[in-house]
Amino acid sequence: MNGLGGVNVSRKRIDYLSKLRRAVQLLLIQRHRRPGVKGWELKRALGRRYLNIIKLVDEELARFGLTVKTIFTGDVSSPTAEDYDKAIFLVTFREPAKISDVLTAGLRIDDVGALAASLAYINSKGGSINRRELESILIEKLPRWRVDSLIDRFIRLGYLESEGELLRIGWRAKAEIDLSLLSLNLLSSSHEG
Amino acid sequence: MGKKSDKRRIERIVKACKYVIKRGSDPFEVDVPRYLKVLRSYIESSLSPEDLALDLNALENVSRIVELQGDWIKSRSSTLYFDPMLIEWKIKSMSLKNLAKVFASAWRPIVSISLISNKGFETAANYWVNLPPLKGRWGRLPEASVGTELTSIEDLIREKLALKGSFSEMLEKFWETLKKKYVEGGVYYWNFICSEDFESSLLKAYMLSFLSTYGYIHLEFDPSSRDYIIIPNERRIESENSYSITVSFSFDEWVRRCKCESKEN
Repeated sequence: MNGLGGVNVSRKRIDYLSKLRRAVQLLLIQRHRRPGVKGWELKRALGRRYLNIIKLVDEELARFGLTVKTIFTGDVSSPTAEDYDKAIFLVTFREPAKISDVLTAGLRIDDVGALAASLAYINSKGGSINRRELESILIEKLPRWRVDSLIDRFIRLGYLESEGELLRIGWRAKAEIDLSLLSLNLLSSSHEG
Repeated sequence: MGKKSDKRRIERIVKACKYVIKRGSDPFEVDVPRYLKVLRSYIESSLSPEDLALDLNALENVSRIVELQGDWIKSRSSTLYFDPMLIEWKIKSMSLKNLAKVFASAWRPIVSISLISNKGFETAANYWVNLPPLKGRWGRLPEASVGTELTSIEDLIREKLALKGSFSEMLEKFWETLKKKYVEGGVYYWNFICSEDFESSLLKAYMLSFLSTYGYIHLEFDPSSRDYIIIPNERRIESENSYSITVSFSFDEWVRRCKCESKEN
C-alpha cells in the first residue's frame, strides 16, 4: 500500500511540475499582439485549479525578482472566479526598475518624464481627462509638435487609451506602474528644476 | 408643452451628457434626477419608434453619467486620492529628468519573450523550400549596359537634377517673395510651404531652414493656430541668443497638413 501511495504522490508531483513548466511558458511567451495570457486560456491549459499553479509560479519567479501580475477588466475590488477567467496574467519585475532600465527600453529621459506627468495627472483626475487638458500640462515643458507625437506614442505603446477626445490610463500602465506609488513619490520628491 | 419642444428638450439632455462624458469634467454637474423626471414625462406621451429611440439614447447617456458619478465618488473617497491641483503644481515645478526618476521608482516592466508562431514558421519554411537557387535567379537579370549620351541643361532642370540659376539667386528671390507676402498679412509656416507636390514643399522647407539659420528670417510660435509665423528680417541679423526649432517634415506629415487639412477647410 505504501509503495502504491508513493507512486501516486510522485505522479501527482510530476503532474504539478509539468503544469508549472507549462504555466511559465504560457505566461512568458507572447502569443498575441499584447503580452500576457487570459485567465480562461490558463484554465484550459492547466485545469480549473490554475490559480494554485499560478501561485506556485509566482513563488518560483520571486527567486528571479519577477512576479505574476493579474489585471482585471474593469474595477474589481473582490474578484470572483469569473473575474479571474476574464483577467490577464502577466510577468513583471517584482521590485521597481532602475532609471537605467527605463532608458535602455528605448525611451528618452524627457519622454519618460512626460509619461510620468501624464499618468500622475490622469490618475489624480479619476482615470480619464480630455486630451487638450493633458496637452496644456505637457506644453509647459515640451514644444507643441512633440507633445502631439508623444501622446500618440503613449497610446501606441498602451500606456494611454483614447476614446474620441478622452484619454484614459492604458492597459500597459495598469500592468507596469503602481499609480498610487507614482503619485506618492511625485508629491514627496523635491521639486528643483 | 408642444411635442417639438419636448423633443428638443430630450436632445439637449443627450447633448449635455455627451459634453460631460467627452470633456471628462465633473459628472455631478449633470442634474440626473431632473433629467430622469423629464424623460419619464416624455416617454409617457410618446408612442412612435423615433421617440422611443430618442428616449433610449438619452437614457443610455444619463446612465453613463451615473456610472461616471460612481467612479468619481470611489476615486474621491479612496485613501489614496491625490488632489489634481497639487499634482499639477508638482509636475510644473519639477524637471523632466526628475519626473523620469519618479516614474522609474514605480515602474515594474513586463517581461515577455517574442517567438515566431507555428504558422509563421511553416510559411517561412515553405518559402525557403520553394526559393530557387541564387544562381538561377541572378541568371535572369539582364546584363548591365554602360553607355554615354549627351543631355542639355534644360533637360536636367526638367528632371530636377539641376537648379535653374544658382542656389543663392533662388534664395534671394524666395526671401523677396516672403517679404512681399508678409506685408500682405501674416505668413504661417505650414500655409506657406504647402504646395501642389511634396518636392516643392520640401524645397520651400529647406530654403526656410537655410534663411532662418543665417538670420534672414525668424519664427514666432502662435499658440492659437499652433503654427509658426514667418517674419522676414529687412536685412540679415546675426543673433547670439537664437536657438534651433525642429519641425517634423515627412511625406505623411505633408499629406496630413497640406492635403487632409485643406480638404477639411
